[in-house]
Amino acid sequence: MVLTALSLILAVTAAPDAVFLGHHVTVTFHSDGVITERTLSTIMPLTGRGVHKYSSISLSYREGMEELVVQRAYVGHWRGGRGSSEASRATGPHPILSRTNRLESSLRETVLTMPGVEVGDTVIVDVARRIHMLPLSEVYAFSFSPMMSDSVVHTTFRTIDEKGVIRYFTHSGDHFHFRNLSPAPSHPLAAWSVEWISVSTGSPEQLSMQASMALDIPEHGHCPELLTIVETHGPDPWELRDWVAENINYTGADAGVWPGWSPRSPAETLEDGSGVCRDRAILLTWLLRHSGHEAYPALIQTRGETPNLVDARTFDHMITVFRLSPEEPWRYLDPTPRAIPHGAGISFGLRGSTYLPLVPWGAGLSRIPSHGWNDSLRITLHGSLNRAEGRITGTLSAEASGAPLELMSALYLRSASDRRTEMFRRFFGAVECDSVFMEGSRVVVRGSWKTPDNGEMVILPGLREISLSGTRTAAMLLCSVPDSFFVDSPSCEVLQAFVHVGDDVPELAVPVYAPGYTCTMAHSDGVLFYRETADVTAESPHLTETLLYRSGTAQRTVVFP
Amino acid sequence: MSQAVAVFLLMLVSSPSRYLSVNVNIDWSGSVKTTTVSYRALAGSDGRFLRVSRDYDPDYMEVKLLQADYGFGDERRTIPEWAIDTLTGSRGWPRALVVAFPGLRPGMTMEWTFQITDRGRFAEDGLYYVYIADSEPDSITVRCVNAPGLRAAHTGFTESSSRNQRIFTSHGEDYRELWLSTAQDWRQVADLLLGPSTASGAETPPDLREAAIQAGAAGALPRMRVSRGRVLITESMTLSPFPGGDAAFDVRPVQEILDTRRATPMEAATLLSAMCRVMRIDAPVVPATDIKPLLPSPIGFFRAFIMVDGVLEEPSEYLSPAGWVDTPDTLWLLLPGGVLAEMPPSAENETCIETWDISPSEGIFSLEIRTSGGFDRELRRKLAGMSTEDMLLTVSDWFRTSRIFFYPLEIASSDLFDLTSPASVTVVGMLQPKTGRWIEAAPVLLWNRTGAVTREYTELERTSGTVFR
Repeated sequence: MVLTALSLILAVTAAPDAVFLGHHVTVTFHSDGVITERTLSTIMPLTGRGVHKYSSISLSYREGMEELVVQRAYVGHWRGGRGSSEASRATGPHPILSRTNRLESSLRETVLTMPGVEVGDTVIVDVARRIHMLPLSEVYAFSFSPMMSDSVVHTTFRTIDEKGVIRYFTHSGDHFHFRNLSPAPSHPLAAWSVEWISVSTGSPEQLSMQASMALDIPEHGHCPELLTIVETHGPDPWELRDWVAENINYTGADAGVWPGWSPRSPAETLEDGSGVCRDRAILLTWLLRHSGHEAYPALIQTRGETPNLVDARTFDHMITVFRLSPEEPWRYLDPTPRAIPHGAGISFGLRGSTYLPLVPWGAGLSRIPSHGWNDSLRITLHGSLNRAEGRITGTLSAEASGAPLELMSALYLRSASDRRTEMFRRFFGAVECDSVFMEGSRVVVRGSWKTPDNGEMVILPGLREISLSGTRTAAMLLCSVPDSFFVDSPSCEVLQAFVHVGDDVPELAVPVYAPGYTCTMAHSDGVLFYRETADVTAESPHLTETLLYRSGTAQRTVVFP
Repeated sequence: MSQAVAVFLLMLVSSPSRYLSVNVNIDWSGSVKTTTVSYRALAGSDGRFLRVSRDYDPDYMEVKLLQADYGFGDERRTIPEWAIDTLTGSRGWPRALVVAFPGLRPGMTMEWTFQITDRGRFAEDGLYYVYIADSEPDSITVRCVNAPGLRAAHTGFTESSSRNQRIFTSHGEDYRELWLSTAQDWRQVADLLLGPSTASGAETPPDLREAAIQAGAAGALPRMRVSRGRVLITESMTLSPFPGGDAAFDVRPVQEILDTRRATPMEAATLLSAMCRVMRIDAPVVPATDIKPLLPSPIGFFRAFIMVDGVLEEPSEYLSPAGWVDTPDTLWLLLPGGVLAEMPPSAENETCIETWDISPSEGIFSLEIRTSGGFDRELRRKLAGMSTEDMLLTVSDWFRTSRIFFYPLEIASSDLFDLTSPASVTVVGMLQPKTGRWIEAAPVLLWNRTGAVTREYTELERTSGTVFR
């Protein structure tokens, strides 16, 4: 409750860094098939960060499929005598390519550098994106939103058809809610909400069908190596996913009709041993088909909300879907990440993402569920309490499934072997760690855990110390943290501890039975047993309260006479 | 994950990639330097050599891939055309030639050769080259044309000669460095590095005079005026990091710098130096490096200060937000007159006071942090320039990595861009729900430096590193 109130206060008091005095987008369909997206923005930076943000504006595009025409780009200075200054323009390969192992220099970036911007100046950017070719399908979609991180005074959005007639027009009202001023959406499809508006020339089903026709090339299946791989590694889809992830290096290249979109054939991918997500997804699709499964590639958007109307450019990743029978739901396999638990198929970062199976009959948008992934972490600690040293020494065994297993596997496999002990010392909150061993889904750590002691009361280590709270400090030991790596993983956590405490009989803590969290204790024959559970899964309705309880020590504090 | 896969992955993780040998051939025509570098390497499982790159500046350089192959034993593969591309460079270089090795497997050997042609200002001035390496690669050979006046200094190399070439080889050393330079003294290097800066800084356009007048209003003391000048530059200009190569020391005319409101570190230093000149304060630009040069050479300089009354100011770092000039390592300064001076790391008073006020009965806490020296810099670097919300998230993360299980709810700070007073931050938040008797390990914030940290805990009885009620 308090956190919610705080968030509200912050949301109300947070000042924008800039104000969009105007933000106008016009989409024009030309008779020659070219589509132009023209964006005119008038921006006034209000803070130093706003100045920094809008002094340099990056625009990306795919060379060969579209071009950027900067109609106007300048800054109007408020100081007398300074007039206005034209932006300098520089175009080159997109810098993201250097960071992501992709050799796709058709992905370009134009940087508009505004000279001498100050708070109160007016930055004007008028850019037309001329789209000659759409990837995978003729379906075109555009989504427009006035909801930016900065404030907006006025926005308009319109579409103009081949005859120059405005077919759709809308603008933001006083509260940035769209009002549909046209009598009816003139385009085949249009959807709007209070936050965004989308137009499209086709449905997701049409996109699915056309993209399927573009990508499903029967000759791709005529690759003898596919059968060899299936015969060698068996028909299990998850095994085949693992094989692709392990054996195809992540290196991309411009290829095919739609650079950045056209996958290479499985034969090319296998020959080079390299490919990015789309190459891997096509390869896995054919491997699954050769092993007798109904499989298709699927487009997926990994970041942000996906609008109801989409085109291929909406998506940023490709995976493979398959099903055991037409009545069964789709199952997902992402052949790009390496260290994901066998059987999961996808990294937990993809949960909740919207995907579009590319099937000949045309499928609609679907969402990978966020819930029901059986994320669990079961920790058992056997040890002895040494009050003089203020620690428990013993063995911790952690059995994980789902997201926590992915996290532990990633930490284990991505770390240098000489750092692994330190990594899991941090991960499980130990003060010392002698050895770490991971086998299957189980990690065993031998070490000692601190027990703060004031001479009377002792805090026993709990989930907050020996569970995922150490992930962040453990992750610091990774050479590089990949994009798909999340330091917070949802899970249902259980800790059971058996601690030899000697002859003294301690006064036990009051048990806690809260929604989403429990902690109980018992003592018998010199052994103190305590059990702590916390539900920190995405579906937990009491997550904040659970985290607060889990952060506490009272329920794990014992008093010695 | 199946055990077989796990074992396979473990096997991969345990084989790092490694350079085996590097052969360098340097030719210099008197104005154009051509460097041919051949690498031989062993691929491991870490993916380090899946692609290799060479940064360059297309304005005055060309990079070509002369040869590349890889494979197991005699079964060699060549690089397909698609696997060679030009992308954005790193560390301030505008471009990089990138070469991928598709299907590279652990255990494969690889060979590739880059040829770099340099027609830049430095190459026109002389022949300059530096190679610094630890135990990797096993073998290094550098062949260099014996240009007139070429001097060499090295550690871990042996020198020989053949015809008109000087040859430097190194095998299996733990550390080696080789410096080649035709510069006769540091004055020549200073002229090369500071030539454009000196020319630009000598101008006195009207806007520079106006800026100097604004800075001059800060007070009578030169340091106060310089400090104000620095604030003017950092608050009104976009400062870029040091560009790679010769461009690092190119300086545009002062009026152009002022008009565009953008500056490289060298340009910012030149501008501040020129403002000081107008204010009749002597403040020369001083380039610095943290690599001790074995010979006079322009290579390695990566910071630009001005020096006023023996004190350094670094205008490009001010709003980073570094706070004070950060000199954690020994710096070598190229002082006016061509003197290379060693400046030891700053040994300023480094203190930090954490005052924790914890009230279990109300379930709240407050923390006040007061800092000086390196702690002051660390605090400013962590939090300066952030919105309140971002500061709160950052502090929450800081608590988390420090294993403090309190929940920050509100935060307030002094003006972290005001360097005239020490940085201070106050955080207020809540404790976990109140159940039964309670003790807690005394909260201790994790700092990235050692020093005198004083921690005060109020309102609580504290014994043996715990707080309780």
